[in-house]
Amino acid sequence: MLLESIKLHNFRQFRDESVSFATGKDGKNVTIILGENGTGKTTFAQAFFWCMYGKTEFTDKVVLNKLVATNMRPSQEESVSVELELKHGEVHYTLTREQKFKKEYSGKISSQNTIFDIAKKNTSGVTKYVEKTMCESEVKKILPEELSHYFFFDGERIDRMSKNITAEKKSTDFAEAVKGLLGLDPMISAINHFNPRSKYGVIGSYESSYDSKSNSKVQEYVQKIEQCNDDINKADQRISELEDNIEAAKTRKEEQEKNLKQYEEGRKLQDRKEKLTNEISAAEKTKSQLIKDVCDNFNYQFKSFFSISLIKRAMNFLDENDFSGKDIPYMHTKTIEYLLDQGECICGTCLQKGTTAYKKVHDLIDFLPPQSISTSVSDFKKQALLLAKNGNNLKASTEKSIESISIENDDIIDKQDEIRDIESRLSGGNVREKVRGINSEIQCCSKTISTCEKELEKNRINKGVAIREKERAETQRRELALLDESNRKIEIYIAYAKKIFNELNNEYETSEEKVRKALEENINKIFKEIYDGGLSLSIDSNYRISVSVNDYDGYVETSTAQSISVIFAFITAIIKMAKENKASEDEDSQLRASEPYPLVMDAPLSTFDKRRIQSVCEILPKVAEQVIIFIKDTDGELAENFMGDKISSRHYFEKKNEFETTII
Amino acid sequence: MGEQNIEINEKVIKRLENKIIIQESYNLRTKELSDSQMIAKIKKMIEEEVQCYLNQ
Repeated sequence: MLLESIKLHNFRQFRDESVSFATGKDGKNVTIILGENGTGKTTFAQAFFWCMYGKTEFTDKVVLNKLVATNMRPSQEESVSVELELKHGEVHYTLTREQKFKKEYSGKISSQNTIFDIAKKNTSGVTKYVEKTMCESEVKKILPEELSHYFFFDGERIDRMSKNITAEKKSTDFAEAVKGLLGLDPMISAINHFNPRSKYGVIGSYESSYDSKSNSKVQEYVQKIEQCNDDINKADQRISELEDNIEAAKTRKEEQEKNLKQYEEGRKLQDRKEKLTNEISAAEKTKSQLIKDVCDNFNYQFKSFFSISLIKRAMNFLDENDFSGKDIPYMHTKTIEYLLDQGECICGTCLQKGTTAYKKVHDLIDFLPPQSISTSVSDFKKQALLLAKNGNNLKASTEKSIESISIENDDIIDKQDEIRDIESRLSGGNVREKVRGINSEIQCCSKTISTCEKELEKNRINKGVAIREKERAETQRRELALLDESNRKIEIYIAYAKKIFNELNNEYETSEEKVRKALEENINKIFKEIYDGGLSLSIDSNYRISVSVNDYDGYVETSTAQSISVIFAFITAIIKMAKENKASEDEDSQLRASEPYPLVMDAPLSTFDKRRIQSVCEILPKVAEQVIIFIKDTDGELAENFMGDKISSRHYFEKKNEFETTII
Repeated sequence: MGEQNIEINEKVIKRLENKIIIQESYNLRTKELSDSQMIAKIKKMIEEEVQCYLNQ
């Protein structure tokens, strides 16, 4: 595929712009498009992608020019289109994608589905339009979308490409596309045309062309073989599905097992957290009990405690006054009151109110019982001492309890701090629940693997049975067919077709391995020229590329410059090999000659230093048949210096305003 | 009676293989023939080559 020209109409900031590309006719194969940041280089590069696949990387999916959209009247329609002219093989293609937009009365712009047309002009100059339903598969034949990212190369999205090129699971489409570019397509195509499992393939169609008129048994065997083919196909399809399921389950299981290991430390922290929570709960209980005890003690002994000062004062008073001998033994207050009422003492002294005698006898009441004053004082002192002791006990026990409460409090605070620390390390969530979830998923994966493996085994057995039955039916059919002249011919053609099919398969396997090894060598050679570090690249059977450091066994994380070098090396090696096949005098290589492909690169040099820019600029035009490079002005000067003699046309993006860029 | 009754000529196989790959390669470039047309063409090649060999 070589790009000839592109026309953009209302595609974002490009109102009506077109560019023709250098195709290497005059030995110059580089088209350079220069522009400052924000002029629309990426948009222009995306126009190729939109035209071919109807997709862009823009967040805003409305590709209509903003000025056009603003000036539209309600119900007015405007269209966006990109027309790409290219040559693929000996066919000239015109790919046109158009999308209509309409302004609603609300001012909203609504879009319709894109319309995609492909016009093909063959060597005889006859133009045909590809049927709408076949357009996508036609584009796939020109350049599969999976591989297009490498040819429409975006330096600013290098990370994603780098992950994709080394991705563990690569789609079959990618590997098939690479094989196609390396010239294995004719062989793959021939193998597909022979396919013995398809009724419509070379072998299958021979199988259905037996003449059963001479012997009805032939038809019976043909039907039996068809049935066996169906069974084999079904078994193969199911085997492929089951293998995919097993692969997916194994990958998921491995991921979850890794996750589980990460959660193992978390599980220990969770255990510690739960232990601390239980200990805090126990400490809280102890603290509550201590507080309750303090309260109970206080309720019981507070009178004693608060009496201490009164007792002290009472004791002082009693110590200062002598009450001993002041009371009359066995004398009662009632006796004194009687004498005072009588007005005469037992000694005959008149007890008249106001007299000294009356006063003296009356004063005796203060010292008389219920108990005698000295007994009362003595009892009081005993009780007072007891109360004072209790009061002092309350203080001591309260102090002790408060100390214990304080210890429990400190313990609780320490544990709460530790829990907070654990929670921050666990980053929230219940680890045990997660571990349970992971374990359950691992079990589920194991179950899937086991169930699928059983079913896989069963399908393999069924397939084996069908193959044996088919072989038996084929032998029997052959024996009968050889008896009849027309069927004998068919039998011979089938024998030749099967032999060719087997030879092609063997040849393909050998060629594919040879080509893959050659690709690996070329990638390493180019990578060394571009990057020149101690790194090696290897390609596995699924065309996954892995990077390793020489003399070091293990995974290596690549820098952006290394990643971009890997991609450059990968794509230039493919292009180089295709070109070499074409130029080779060797018949086999000639047969493998595939299409030339362009390299359309947006900001490819931005991550490189000057030395590597020089390497890339020197290698690319030599290797690729066509280079279209979108570049900012500063890198542009370097590119001009290093590949000036290969540049055929230069274009400059001039930004008129935020919504319009023109190309000079 | 079995497969040994059909004699396969290796030269014919090699010649057919090359012709088929060249045809596939050409068709991939020109897209002249559809899949079913290619299958018919391959069958015709086989029949012609085999017939030619058998007639010798």
